[in-house]
Amino acid sequence: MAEKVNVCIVGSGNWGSAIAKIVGANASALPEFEERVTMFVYEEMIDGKKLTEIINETHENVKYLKGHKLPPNVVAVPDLVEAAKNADILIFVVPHQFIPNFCKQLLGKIKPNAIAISLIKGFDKAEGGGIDLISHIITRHLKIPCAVLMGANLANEVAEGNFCETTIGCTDKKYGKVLRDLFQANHFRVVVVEDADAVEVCGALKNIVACGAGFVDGLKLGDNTKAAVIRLGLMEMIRFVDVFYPGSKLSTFFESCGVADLITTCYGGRNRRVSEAFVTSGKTIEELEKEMLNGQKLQGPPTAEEVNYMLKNKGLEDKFPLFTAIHKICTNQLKPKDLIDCIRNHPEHM
Amino acid sequence: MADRLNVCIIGSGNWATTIARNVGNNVANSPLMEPKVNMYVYEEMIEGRKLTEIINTTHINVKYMPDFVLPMNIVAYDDVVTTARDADILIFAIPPTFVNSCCKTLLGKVKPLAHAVSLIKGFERGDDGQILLISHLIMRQLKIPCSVLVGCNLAHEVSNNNFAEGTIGCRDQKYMRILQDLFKSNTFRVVVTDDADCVEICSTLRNIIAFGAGLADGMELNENTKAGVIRRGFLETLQFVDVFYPGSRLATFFESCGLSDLVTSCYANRNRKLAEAFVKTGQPLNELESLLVPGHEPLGPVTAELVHIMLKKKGLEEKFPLFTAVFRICTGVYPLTRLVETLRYAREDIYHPNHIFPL
Repeated sequence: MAEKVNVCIVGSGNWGSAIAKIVGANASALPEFEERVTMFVYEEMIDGKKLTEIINETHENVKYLKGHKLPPNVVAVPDLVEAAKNADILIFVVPHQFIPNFCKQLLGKIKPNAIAISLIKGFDKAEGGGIDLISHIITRHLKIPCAVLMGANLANEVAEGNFCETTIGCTDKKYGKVLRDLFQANHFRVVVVEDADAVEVCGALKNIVACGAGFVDGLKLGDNTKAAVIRLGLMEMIRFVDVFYPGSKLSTFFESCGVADLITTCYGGRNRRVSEAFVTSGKTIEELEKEMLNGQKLQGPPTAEEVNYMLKNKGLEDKFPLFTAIHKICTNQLKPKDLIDCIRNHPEHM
Repeated sequence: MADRLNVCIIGSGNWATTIARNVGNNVANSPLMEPKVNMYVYEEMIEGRKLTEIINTTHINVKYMPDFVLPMNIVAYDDVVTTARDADILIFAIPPTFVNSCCKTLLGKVKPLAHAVSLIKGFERGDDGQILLISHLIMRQLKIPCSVLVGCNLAHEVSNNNFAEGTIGCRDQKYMRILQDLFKSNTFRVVVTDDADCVEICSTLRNIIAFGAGLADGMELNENTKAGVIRRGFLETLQFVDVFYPGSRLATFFESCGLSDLVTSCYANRNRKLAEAFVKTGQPLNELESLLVPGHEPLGPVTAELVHIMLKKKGLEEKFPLFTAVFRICTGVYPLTRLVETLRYAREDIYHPNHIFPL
């Protein structure tokens, strides 16, 4: 790439804005990047003013990341194609349900040798059932390679400048360096691995395990039991990746996207919190989502459902007793207190 | 093995008493095992009665586990030689500082083909200042093989029948099954591996990591940073074992002795509390230790010290930035802020386990 690399951020939510701080600063500091970074912002009216205008004048995303200044070289653009058409690197950070539609709009309008990177946690339901990874959807639609960035990163903490680690999964080695340069910051350490699928799957599966950890907390079973659930959860994650995304490396699970993200999610995340309340309050997951998350959806239960679909298809439910039990508890086929009975004879103990 | 195997338990604290129930129940139901289990109890007078007498009549260890009934086949003795002389399996569950003297008493008095199992958390300081694993100490002193049982198993949670896991690092193939059957219960699952050193050192090094996590908590850094400390600690553990106990298997780190033990320690453990108090109160560590940790368990600071000695001998301090930083923070050489600095600049290619997990 002789010319400067153009970067576009597709998305302007909490995480998108937090990452824009880092990406914007890097683009203006490093010679290999074009300074101007476009950010696609879904246009909204805030107190009678357009959000893009507010961002471009005050450099603050008042709606999603209040109190933080974005670098002035990050330019909000209300039109998706306009924002993306010159980009060499497209950073996707929008809710996953928008992806197919966005890709359709972008198809044929972007540079043919652009690359994408997905910061989207979650996945889509494959046709018929099962997990469809976001990076795969992007690649399929746009016919360009797509890397992923996952890790133990809460948007607000990253924006605050608190120290975090993260993992980029990038199948094609030659893009590793440019992606790292784009995201690395003094408080944001990036490790690049080639195992993109494993990185992304970890980010989805950890939410199932966090539900299990939440059930244990709700049942007040103590730290040993919780640690056992986390451990067995990790073993099932590793086994799942081995069965469905073969060729992955064990070392990937040692990266931030693996162990670190799993632990944080099982102690701090909202899947854990809602699952705990699920046990103690006796309410349904939907009721709790309304009460505790303003109606936002938890990722653990639907992930458990799709994973269960995949396991069932291969007749592997009993090899993944924890994932299976969590799915059954979320769908009321099992009582939370039966969780432990399900993992008592875990294949790991044989 | 025509004869039934005889089991004895040396120790009568929380953990010894808790595991005695599993052992007592398991031998009673096994055709391979002698049903009577001797238990060595350090004799004390409790309200005018001997503790051994109380245990043998009421089957309750009133001193350490007053709400917990032992199986009838556990018989308390106040003499360690009497307890152990007929045993084929000796289970050690005493404070680490007593192991040396206990072994001296037992030397020559135990069956020559006996097998020891250490349930002891901690280690001894070797003559060269390095970590001496308890199982190595027992083997050296008694000249019999010594396996280990560790894992995240807080005594009171196991005794309440909360689900827990443990890992046995077994040094003799033919005892693998026997030991598993001896300790397990419906709520206590035991995985056996032959990687005994790795099992034991894992549960030692986690003290340092938990202490580091506690420092992060004390400084009120966020969860992401703490996760970074835990991850870095895990990587350094892998590397440490690779250097000092070569030949260990990566899979062992995923057992209860590795990952689960580490996670529990970093969220609920005395090391973590000690470190948090160290940051928040600014009091010297030794004062806090005597205040917060009345027992004998060696904690993060001393573990970090011994590990540091080992690293220094090999000139590897810089390759283990987290362990080194924790040690230097404990000794006041580094300010607290170095903890995060360490994560920031640590090499990322610290360890590359490239083989795929065997499934």
